[in-house]
Amino acid sequence: MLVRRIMNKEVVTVSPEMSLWEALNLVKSKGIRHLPVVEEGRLVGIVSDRDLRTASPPFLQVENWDIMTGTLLKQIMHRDVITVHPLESIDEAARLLYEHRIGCLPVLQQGTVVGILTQSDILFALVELMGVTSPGTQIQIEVPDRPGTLADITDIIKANGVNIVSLLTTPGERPAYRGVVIRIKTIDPRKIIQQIKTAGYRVLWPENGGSQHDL
Amino acid sequence: MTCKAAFVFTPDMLKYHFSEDHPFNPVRLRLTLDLLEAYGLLEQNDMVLPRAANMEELLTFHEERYLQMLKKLSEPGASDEGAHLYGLGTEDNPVFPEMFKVGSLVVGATVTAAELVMEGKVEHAINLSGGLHHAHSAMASGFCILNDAVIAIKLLQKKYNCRVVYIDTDAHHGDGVQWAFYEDPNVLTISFHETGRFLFPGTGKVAEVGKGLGYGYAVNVPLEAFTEDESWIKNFREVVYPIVKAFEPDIIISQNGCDGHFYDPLTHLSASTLTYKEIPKIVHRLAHEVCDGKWVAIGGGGYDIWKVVPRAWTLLWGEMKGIKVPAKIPEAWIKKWSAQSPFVLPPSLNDDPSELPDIPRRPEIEEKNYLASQRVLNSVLPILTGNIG
Ligand SMILES: [Zn+2]
Ligand SMILES: [Zn+2]
Repeated sequence: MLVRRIMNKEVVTVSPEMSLWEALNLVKSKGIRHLPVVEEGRLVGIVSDRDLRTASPPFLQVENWDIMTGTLLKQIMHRDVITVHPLESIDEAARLLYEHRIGCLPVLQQGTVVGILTQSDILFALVELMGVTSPGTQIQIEVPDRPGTLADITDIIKANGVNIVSLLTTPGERPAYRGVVIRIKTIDPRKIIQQIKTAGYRVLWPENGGSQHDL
Repeated sequence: MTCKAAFVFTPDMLKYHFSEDHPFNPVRLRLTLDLLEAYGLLEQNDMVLPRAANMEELLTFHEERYLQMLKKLSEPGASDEGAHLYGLGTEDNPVFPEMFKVGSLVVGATVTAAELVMEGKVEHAINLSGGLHHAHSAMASGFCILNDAVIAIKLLQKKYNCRVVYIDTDAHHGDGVQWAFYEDPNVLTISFHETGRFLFPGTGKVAEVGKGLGYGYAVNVPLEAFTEDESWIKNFREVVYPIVKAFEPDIIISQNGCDGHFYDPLTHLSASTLTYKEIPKIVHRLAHEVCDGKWVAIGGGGYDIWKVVPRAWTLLWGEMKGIKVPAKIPEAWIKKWSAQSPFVLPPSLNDDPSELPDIPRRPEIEEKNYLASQRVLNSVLPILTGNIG
């Protein structure tokens, strides 16, 4: 999945000459947390609502008023902005957010801001990907990390005439094994589970004792 | 106190039968009827013949192209081309003879039950063939072709302008009914079910509370696998009482799937028949407290057709009539069915405590269930009582 599919295309950008006071009002009224700063169509910096609050005086008194209106974004913005291209994959975008400990990435195409991607956009996309989009039963299987195991399992499901709704593989609980999480379109998975077990794979299923395993 | 109740039934409903070895087996109805008769609980006066639902009624929920496909498949020798797109002709929902006609009859029986109650002919009415809660508007799902509960509720809204509470205690989430009224503030759907982490259909999370105008009018309490009577009944009582009272319905429809029993082969809940005795008791009392007793009960899942379904639904009908049913199963019934049953038939309506499974994870399971019901109450009750924010 690519960044362009989940980014926000309606980006509010601001000028480096905007005052702290105006910017604070803008983030409040729009309910946003990040403002890309653009000059002559080019991205020159970024400020977050947190930057704005840090730069504001603690009490709004008359003598502080000058600071609010006199401080310009160009004085407080971050100039080394980390950006992403719309054709970048979302896992790469997530890695950038994580490694640089930042909350958002402006999306840049040929120097122009075409979108913005926040941590919550990525989280939401993930929830959608892992979520339930069609009725089905979820089975979790532990398979040795070698070629052909996934095909074994999908063959069994196919032979039973059942549709696969979604499929995910995970690193697995033990080394040299992988987890396979499959949603299948049936209310009665008994035969399929039995055949997967007979083929030599471990199926994780609700357990009444010990601790519930999880892939 | 005995109540006036109708038992809506005709033998043609036993034709809702996918195939010989399919888990959804109408023999369970025959066994239940027979047990009720052996107990002397079914009087001629109680029995009411259903009418079939007509096309206009089916169209209040189902899409025309889906109904046409069902009709086409019902004809002898029809090809099942395109059926898979509608969830038909699959392992779960194979084509069977007269499926459209039989399906319409099951829907009609729930509609009949609702009409009998609204016309004041009886206080309560039951259709044990109903409760096909997974059927979607253009998709058969989980053994359900036509959604009798949704169509009966649509009729209650149209003909009687009712506010309806739907209470679903099948082990599977009541998804078809929930989605049908997800944006409707005049229908409150409540579903208690095994968590969808593994189990079909996967939905029914606490966070599913309705949408738009219907925000706050869908309630879901997912129970952990291996939930037992005490935790189930306690959470059911604590959630259902305040929520139904706050909503003030005109009628209650309860779906009584009994596949959460520990013998059930398709699910992982660990209820005994005690749960299936207590739930109808709570619903019955609520109906008299909040809506002049107006209560329609429908069936649902239940895949241990020998040891569970007849007992659970005998308890349900006994509760509906207000009759205390003796625990000891009549000899005559056991004698009649023992030869055919692959299992030893239980001697009592109550499960023998020594038969109950041991659940080492009990404290963890109870804690998780309690948290789920508290989260539900915190998110939905303020909306229903109008005390938001
Ligand atoms: Zn009553
Ligand atoms: Zn069920």
